[in-house]
Amino acid sequence: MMTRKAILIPPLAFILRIVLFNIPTIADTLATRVEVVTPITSFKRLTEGLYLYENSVPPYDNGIFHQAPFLLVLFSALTSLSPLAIPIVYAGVDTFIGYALVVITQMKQKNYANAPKLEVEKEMAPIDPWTVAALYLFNPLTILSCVSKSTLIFTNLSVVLSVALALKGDAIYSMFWVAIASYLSFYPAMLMPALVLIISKWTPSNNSTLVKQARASTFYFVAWLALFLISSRILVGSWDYLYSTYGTILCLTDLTPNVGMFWYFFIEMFDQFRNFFLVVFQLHAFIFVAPLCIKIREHPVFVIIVLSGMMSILKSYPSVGDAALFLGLLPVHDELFKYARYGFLVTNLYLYSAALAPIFWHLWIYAGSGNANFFYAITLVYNLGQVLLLIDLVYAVLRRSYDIANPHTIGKEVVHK
Amino acid sequence: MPDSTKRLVIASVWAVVLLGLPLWWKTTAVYRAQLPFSQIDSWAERKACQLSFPSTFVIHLASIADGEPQAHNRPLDFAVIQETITSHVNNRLASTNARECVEFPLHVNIQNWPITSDMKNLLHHIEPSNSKQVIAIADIEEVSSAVITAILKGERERVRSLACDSELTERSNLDGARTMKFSPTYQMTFSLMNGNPDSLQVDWDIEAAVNTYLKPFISEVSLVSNFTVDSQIQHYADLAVTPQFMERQKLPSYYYLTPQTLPHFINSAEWNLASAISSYPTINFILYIPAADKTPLRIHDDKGQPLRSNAFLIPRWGGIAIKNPPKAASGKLEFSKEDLKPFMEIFVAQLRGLIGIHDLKKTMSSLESSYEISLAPTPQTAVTVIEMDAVVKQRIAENVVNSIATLKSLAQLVMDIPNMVVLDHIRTEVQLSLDSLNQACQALQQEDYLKALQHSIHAIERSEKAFFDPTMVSMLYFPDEHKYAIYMPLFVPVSVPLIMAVIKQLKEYKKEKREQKVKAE
Amino acid sequence: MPWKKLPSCILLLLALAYPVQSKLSSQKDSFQEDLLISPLKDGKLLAHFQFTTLVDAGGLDEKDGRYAHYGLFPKSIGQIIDHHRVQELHLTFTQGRWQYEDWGYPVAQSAGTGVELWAWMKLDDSIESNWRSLTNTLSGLFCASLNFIDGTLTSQPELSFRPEGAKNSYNHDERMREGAEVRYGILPHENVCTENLTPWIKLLPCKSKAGIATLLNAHKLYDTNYHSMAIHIRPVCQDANCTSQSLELVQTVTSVLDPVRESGRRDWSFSSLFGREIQSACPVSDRSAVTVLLPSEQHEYQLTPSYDTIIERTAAQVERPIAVYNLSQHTEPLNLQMTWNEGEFSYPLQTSKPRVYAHKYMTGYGHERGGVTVNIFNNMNESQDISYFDSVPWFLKLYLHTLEVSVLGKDHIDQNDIVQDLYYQPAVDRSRPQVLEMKLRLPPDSVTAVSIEFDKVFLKYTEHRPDANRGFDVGPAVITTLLPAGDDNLASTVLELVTNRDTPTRQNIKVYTEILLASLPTPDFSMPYNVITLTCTVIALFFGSIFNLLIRGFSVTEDEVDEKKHENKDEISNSS
Repeated sequence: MMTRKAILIPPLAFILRIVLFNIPTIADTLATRVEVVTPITSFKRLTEGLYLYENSVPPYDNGIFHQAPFLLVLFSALTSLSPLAIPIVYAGVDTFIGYALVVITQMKQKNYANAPKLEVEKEMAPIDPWTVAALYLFNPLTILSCVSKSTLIFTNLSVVLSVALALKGDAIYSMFWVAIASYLSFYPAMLMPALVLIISKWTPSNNSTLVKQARASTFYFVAWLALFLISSRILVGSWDYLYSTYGTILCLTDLTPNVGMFWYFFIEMFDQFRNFFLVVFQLHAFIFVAPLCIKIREHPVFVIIVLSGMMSILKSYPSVGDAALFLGLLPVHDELFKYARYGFLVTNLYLYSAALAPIFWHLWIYAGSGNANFFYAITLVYNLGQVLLLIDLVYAVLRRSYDIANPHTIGKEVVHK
Repeated sequence: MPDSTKRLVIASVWAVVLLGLPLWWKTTAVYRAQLPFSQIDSWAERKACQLSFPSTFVIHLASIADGEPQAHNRPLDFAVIQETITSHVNNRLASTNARECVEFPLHVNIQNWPITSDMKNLLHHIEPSNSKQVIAIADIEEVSSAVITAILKGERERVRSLACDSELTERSNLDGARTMKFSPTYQMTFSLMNGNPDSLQVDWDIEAAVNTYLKPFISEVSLVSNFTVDSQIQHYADLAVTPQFMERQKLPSYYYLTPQTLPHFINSAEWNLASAISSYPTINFILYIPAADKTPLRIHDDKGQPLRSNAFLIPRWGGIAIKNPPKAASGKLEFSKEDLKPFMEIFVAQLRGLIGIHDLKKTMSSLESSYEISLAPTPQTAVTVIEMDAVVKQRIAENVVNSIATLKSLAQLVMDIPNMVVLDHIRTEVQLSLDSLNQACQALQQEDYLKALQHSIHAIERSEKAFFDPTMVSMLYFPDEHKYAIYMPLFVPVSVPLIMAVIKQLKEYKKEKREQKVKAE
Repeated sequence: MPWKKLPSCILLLLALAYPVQSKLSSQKDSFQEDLLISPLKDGKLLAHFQFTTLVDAGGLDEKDGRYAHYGLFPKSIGQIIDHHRVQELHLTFTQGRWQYEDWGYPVAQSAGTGVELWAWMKLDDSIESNWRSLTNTLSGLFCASLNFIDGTLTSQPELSFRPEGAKNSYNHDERMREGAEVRYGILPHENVCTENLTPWIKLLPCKSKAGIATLLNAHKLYDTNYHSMAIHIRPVCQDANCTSQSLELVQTVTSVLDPVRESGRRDWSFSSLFGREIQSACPVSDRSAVTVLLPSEQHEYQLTPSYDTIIERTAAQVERPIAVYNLSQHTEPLNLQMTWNEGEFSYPLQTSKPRVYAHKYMTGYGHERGGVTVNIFNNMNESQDISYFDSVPWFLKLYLHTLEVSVLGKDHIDQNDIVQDLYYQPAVDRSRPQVLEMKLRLPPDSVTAVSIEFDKVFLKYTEHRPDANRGFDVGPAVITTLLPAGDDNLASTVLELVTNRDTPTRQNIKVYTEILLASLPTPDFSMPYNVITLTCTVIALFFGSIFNLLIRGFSVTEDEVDEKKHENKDEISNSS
């Protein structure tokens, strides 16, 4: 059903991005800003890796290129086509992510049509799927991330597609896309249990219990991943790339600043404890996968939203692209917004950090009148904002379930027990 | 909210935490391999193995096979004579102190040496001038025990002092102070120092001299240590000390150095004596040609008389010989192989002292006997079998004692500093060193000195390799308060809810159990 | 203590058992010392000391113990060469920058500021540990911090730094490199001082007591615009077929002195330059000579005492008279003096530039990224082939795809016409530097610009130096080319001529650029515990809140009040 929104939004988003790509000042500045681009998603580094690869120098035997081999192949094909191909591909992928969000929202609303709800919700119409897409496509963070040619967009695409296909019940291809996402960025592997929950909850196939579905999906995931790793080995010619890509993500060999909390911590950390804290931080990123899936198994799409929010805080090299994905998936569960307590605070924190981060970076790196602590403080504020948002969301979903179960408690003060 | 969900959630979080604990241990613990402390202690207290240095002497008694029957001796009871000699020697050499950390078993073997009568003339020192006199058994015993006592006395004293003085007391005897510390390889450097080449240039054929005069000695001593030889010529070698002028009326005057100035003779700053590749200790031998305005240069002894040899030895360093150029010489002074022979003799003598060889003549000078005893010389190698034997025994004792001391220091160091990293290869070296010590001790008991020497060299090499390993220096020293400051900010706020949750669950579980019991009743 | 000579019966001659040819230790050694003085165009004076020691290395087959007995050759150097299996060694200590545009080409090749060490070592399993041991041993011998040249600063040039000894080839010949590999390391930040000069002088046979080396006065030498001290060790052939080789040790000191700075005039003498005179020649030297390169016009100057020989226009390449003083024939001390017939010295307005030279500089601003550009000037009327070598440390990440080679003002020349060959080794963090080598064909009369961009690395807190805000030094780029003798390398041609060696028609010239200073972004060094606390607080806040939310349920606070109300109501109703 093509509404007016459906006709207008995708072309508008596409054209906006193409226009911005063609303004060299914007495109070139964004391609090197640390808030938007990280050592494992930078397009400049990808160009360097591609150049070395095409000139028969081993692309992974250096400290610059840390991205997956499939991207080398993809971009080697794209650059041989024409210089326009790359902006078109990026803009197209971003628009397609918007469309996938529409599909996700539609399927989620279909599945929740018969779920227990609050009295007020029975009269309210749920959010328009194209509004969700618009909120993603016209979010400044998304546009910045797209125009910077950060390769994170492919990870976001894979995540969104895997959710959409899981909602459709296609286990094999959902696992395919989440395997691609893990292969590219490592952290999306934490989404796999939630996807299994989605598949088994809403597309009951003949006699498959949760356990059987889990086993089958794990098998598909592992098989796809192994296939990708082995074909990468064949493409590149040796297993070096594992150390260069996943080794950098896990061991933080490159300490370039970004909007996360890892970089300054590990610049200042003493050598004796470095390995220990790396282990702690990486474990901490994955620690809430199981508890969330157990506790909130009724709302697996919500679990995916929370996990993508956690990825955007606790990854080793986060950027605003991760926040864009998180904020894009957020309106899918629009019924939680009425329970949000800290909306104003969180919005302000985002705006505050977005405004001050470039200024403090300039003061530290270019003007020399500030030091690293300024930029570090802004990253703390930004992450604090996201933490508060996540806490708020989890509270909202739990309170809503409690209110649905106990209608007389709506609007009353509750306390945790 | 169902309790089972709550418990599952808590359990899943705790599962990850427990997974992290071994990783914490692995990433922050100091790696310390286990050293065999008890074995090292038993060696240090000399309880592990009793060191023994057996000696066997074979006495060949000549008896004329085809001779007049009455000139012949009556059948001798060799066994009795052996015992008598052994007991005589042991009585004379019995040590005064009670504790015997080293044993010196003695075996005497008497063998018949039948000779033909035409060789009689060569044996003039056995047959007395009066051919009618008969040799008494007592004479044989007396002479033999005197000789053996003389040979063994000094050797046993030195070995005993090395092996038994566990406090490494200062060796007050000159011999001990002079000998270089043991090393399996030594680097020998011959330097020709020219005081002033303006008037006289010097050159020498040292390679031939070394090959001819030094190589036989070195190859004989290679049993104990190896030597690499190199040489250099240094010009403008100034003296650090000023010699004094001795004016004489009838005889030519000369410059001289007193014994007090000799320790400062070496001008280490200006003479390039240091070795660039110094893995082994260096022994330096210097042939010094004084400058024209300081010739002739002599050395006075403490009585004020000039030495004939014009050479002196610096303990644990090397030796110096001074050669005064002939008065008429100008231009070039070249030392051919033959010219260097007297100096090589001096150097070899100094070298013998530096590596611990004790002169046999000196040893035998303590011999008292009414008979004339002569010793066979060694024309080629400059060291006799008895001297080599003594050196081997001394070095074995020195090596064993030093490696035990090194291992003990290592063990003490590791125990005193709990934060020190001890890697696996250090434990391997320590183990190998202890094994070598064991084998050395056993070889000693079997009187296989060559093998014992080999094993003792291995023992000292391995123990020093372990002690001086570069990784022994790295310490993961981190003050405890700083450790708290690093761990606390994350783990205290995280662990409090975890632990509270577990405690609450346990309380509820107990309450449930109680309620169930009550219900059941 | 006194020692008695042993009776000679202990030692017997056994000449028959050990037949050995009688060979004196310094029989086949030779030592030559030279001093070359050449006035430079801008009024400064080039003083180049060269001490050459040759030792016979035997036949081409190696013999054990070949280097055991030393005469004139210093034992420490021989032991180092032998022990580390070094074929060729070049170690240079330089302070100051050689101004190619004013002074032409230096006599000694290496002119990179700091300490530069490169060596061809025999290729076997232990070559890496030999290199490491070599840097440490030389560090101890010369009191310099050469031990800092480890894997992060060592590179292996492919095109430049070819062997210069007997197994040499001025053209890149693969066959010649068999069995040996080159290692190159440079410390641009190293200071050179008397502690380095003293062990260097001790390597000479006459040390500083006689001969030309007496002029090496550290007070005067280290007060100059430029000074450089080097040792070069290489095998040389003794005949055309190279059936026997010698090992040559060349020790050089090059300094550029400025008499104009003190007096305004160009006049100089040994006592004014060095504070000393040459008392006598070194007695063990074969040749001891002072050479002065004279200006072409005889009336401009006066040189006392009068020279022994003059070489005037004998070789086609040299068009100026050369005065040679043979010190072995002099009995009195030598104090050369040159006075110029002019008032005050006036600097020339235009100096003729050398044929090929280069400048290197950094572009960009800020601590995040930047670029490096090298301008290579070719002043000749024909194109010239050069080899370009640059070793950039790992803390600057070069982007090879941003490499641009262009000719200034001539945009039509394609990059592929200029770049004939390119070797690139990317850096690995904390492990090895970047090495960029190119073979370029410079167009005639042009300025070629080689530029590349880099990102600056954010270092760990402990990897910064104590003076972190000063920055890190980056070594020079080296340009190697073959040039025939000309006006700008007159000094080295003259020296070759005077030392009677073969004057090759073309010489290998190395041009070193400036060193750079890269300031890297620094963290706040006072913050480790603060950072740990703040970051852990945010994480703990996150963990604690989510954990509590997940394990706790809700209960309404008003429930209890309501119940009480209900109870009261019941009571009231009951009671009423």
